[in-house]
Amino acid sequence: MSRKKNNMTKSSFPGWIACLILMIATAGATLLLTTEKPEPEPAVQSPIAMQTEENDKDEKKEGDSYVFVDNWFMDTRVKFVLDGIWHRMGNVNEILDTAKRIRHTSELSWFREWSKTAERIESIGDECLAKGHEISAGEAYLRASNYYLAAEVMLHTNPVDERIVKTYKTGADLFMKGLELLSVPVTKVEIPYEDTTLNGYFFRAETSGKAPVLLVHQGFDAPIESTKHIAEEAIRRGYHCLLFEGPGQGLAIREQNLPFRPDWENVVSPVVDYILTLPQVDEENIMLMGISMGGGFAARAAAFEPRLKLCILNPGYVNVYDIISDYLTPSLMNLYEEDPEELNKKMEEIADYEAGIRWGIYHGMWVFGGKTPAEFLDNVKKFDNTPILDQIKCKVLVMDGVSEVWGEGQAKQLYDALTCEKHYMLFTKEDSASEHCQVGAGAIATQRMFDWMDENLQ
Amino acid sequence: MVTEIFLMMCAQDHAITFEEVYPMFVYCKIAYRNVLENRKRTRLIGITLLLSCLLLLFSFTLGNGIEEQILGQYRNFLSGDISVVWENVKEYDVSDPSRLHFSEFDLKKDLENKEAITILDSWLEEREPDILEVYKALRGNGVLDTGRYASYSIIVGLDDREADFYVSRGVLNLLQGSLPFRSKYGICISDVAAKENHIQLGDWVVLDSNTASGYVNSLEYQVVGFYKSNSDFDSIYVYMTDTDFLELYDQPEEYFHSVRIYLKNPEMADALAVDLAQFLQTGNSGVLRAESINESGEFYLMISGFLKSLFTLFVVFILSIIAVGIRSVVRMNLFERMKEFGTLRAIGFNRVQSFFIIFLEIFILAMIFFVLALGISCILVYFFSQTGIPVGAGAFAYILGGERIYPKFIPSDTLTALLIITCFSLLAPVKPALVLLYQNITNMLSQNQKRISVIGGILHSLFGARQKKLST
Repeated sequence: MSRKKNNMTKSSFPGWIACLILMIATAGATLLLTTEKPEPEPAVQSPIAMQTEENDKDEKKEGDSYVFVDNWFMDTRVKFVLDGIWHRMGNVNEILDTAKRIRHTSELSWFREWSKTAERIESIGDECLAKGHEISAGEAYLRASNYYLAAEVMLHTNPVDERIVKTYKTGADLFMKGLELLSVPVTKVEIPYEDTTLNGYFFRAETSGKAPVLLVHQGFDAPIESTKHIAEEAIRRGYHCLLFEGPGQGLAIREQNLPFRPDWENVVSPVVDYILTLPQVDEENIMLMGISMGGGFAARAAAFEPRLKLCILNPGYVNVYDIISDYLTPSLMNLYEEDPEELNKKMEEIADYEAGIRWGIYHGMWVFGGKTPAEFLDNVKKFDNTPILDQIKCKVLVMDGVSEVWGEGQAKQLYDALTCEKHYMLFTKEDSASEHCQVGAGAIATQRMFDWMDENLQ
Repeated sequence: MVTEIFLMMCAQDHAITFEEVYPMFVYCKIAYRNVLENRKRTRLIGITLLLSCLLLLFSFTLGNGIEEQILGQYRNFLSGDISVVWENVKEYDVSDPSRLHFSEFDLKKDLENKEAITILDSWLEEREPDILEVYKALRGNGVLDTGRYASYSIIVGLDDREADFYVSRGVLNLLQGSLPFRSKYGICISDVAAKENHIQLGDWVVLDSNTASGYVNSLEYQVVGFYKSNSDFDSIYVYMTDTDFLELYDQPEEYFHSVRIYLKNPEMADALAVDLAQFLQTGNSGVLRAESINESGEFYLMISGFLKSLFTLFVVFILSIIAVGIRSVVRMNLFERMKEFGTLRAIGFNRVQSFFIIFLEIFILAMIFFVLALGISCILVYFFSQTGIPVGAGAFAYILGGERIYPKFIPSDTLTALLIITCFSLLAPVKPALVLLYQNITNMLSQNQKRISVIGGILHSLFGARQKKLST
């Protein structure tokens, strides 16, 4: 009897365990099914994704952008190319047809399609020129120039690619050739800079005496040729205009491998020195305009260059490091602080994800003179205007847009920090000019900017 | 008389006349009649022999198939007798079966790379008499995108010569359409990839490549052919022309993924690989390295050797079963026929003649069923060489070089199998027959088998009989 009882005890014990396991499993399964899985945090965020997140929070930033290529970065670049239409450096269908052919994952598809279009339009220019149609040729060359300059951008993943210099130079040459054929009063200039020279285009206003001059430089990546509309508008209003490339820009980085420098005043001052050698320039009315990231550089130069009368920051930046680090997740930033080698490896992996991110990392490393992502961040840290903003004495215009995604809020922050005479120009959705550097809205942007200049230079 | 003729036949220098042979036909006739006479007995021995022959032949063909699949594919497709790869391969352990796939050049070392390529070319020129063929392989990773489906691919660029090589070696078996080498932007994909991605001949697809410069390139290609895929991982290759490849990978013409060198005498692979490796060090780059198939294919050699040993073991096991089986069947059979052989002995057939009849019976049966087994094997091999024998996916498939094994018939194997079966049919009845034949005739006729010593019996019949004769 006792033996039997013992057996029963033995046989019921595993059953009890089985029941317990079953209960735990059921509870676990229920928990798993009812708990929402957290979305994995992307390592690097595209500004468009950030904008979309913001849209949910902020009424004023409801997204209504047009999408031309299914890649946030390429799409932004297509809008820049479209912007050329405003100053006859592009045509709607030529651009849209090209954009349609681009494979959104591929840098070389981008390069190939823009090059194809550029070559086709250039050959039209050649044909027209051969037949003596100089105006037609000039128009074609300007469009081809814009397309060539667009084509080479996506090659920056590999800065040693020989096609970068070749294509950029072709674009720049056609730009000059087009302007000359169209009888635009422009001269290609070489500005003495340290033991080398910087490239520039000097647009002469047709005035009898001396005239004020607007010095314009670009920012992180755009070619100076894309600001032709500013120069044209300037000379129409009686201002000379010098479009110039600083280190980290144009052929300075492509041919001479000169990266950005944080002491931008050492770039602007030689330019001011040079412009003062030109007899037609009114030395009392020198204006500086920095576009895109160049807005931050121009602010720095304005703090140390007393010969500037006005400074236009479109938009302005306080701290470039904050803009870049905004795109990195906290875990990546921790890696940067704690283990830069690991960050480099991680960033290489991230670069494989997508063409836009890849471009951002490698282009950034190139133009900021870093061999690794960690070095890139080290160098970017030096671009901080916080301590010098109160040293700016000239009158400053800060242009900003409500849809700004690159260093969002920094323009206003800079404006607030300025102690000089200042103006804040905000572009809204109603203006159709709320995006970065008023892309696609050249008309209203130049109108307001030049009106402000007219008013403030007197 | 019969014994004398039989002994005479054994003498090799003796020319046998038809008359002398004739008694052999008598034995054959008796043996053949015995075979036909007792169908049940014949069936029993026959099925044993048939199964044995079938197992033996089929295991040979399987062994051949696996061996060819493992080493042959590796040699033909990836390594050659000597492979020249980029320095990054040394980071991968030799036991890694896919290590040669990872060969990739670093464009940042363009000058060193070009110098190394020049050195390689000069070695190839110098060693031309020893070299049968050289192929500079072009391959890279990519994504095949139909718009609805995207799949990882390895893209292979081939010139006409290399394409012919692949086709002739069975690496590339065209199923449908044509090879892409007559059309620009034409590609050949696997039947499996076509099915999975719903691709028809003539469809246009996009291929994305990761170039050495760090870009992604994309181009459109038209599917002009399907090749037969041996396995899922074998289905990821996309073949195109070398010029299309260079365009897709945005690659300078002189660059390659790896070089396969086939030697006139593959035995020289190790020595020449060492020579080439040293030669490549003469420059100051060291970006290229040479490895013989024995070095680079350590994994494949090991696996191939292991599987071969396993098969040998299997064959030995089968042979043991065959031996035991035949012996048991013969023993049982002879015990049943004790009276019959007792009668033969009684009417004057001596032990050798009787043994010869027993051997012939087994031999005739072995031959009949060997031919039958050969026929069945041929049918099976033909069938499975078309469909393959599935072995499943995963590591095993990777080791075997495919998810299916394709048996292969080699004529010399038939001869080996025939020899083995003959030996066994000769050896298997030895002991049972001798035990039977050394029984007393009276015991045989009364089917009363006694325990006897066969060796003692033989010694007695050889020496005892002679002494008796002499004394007589």
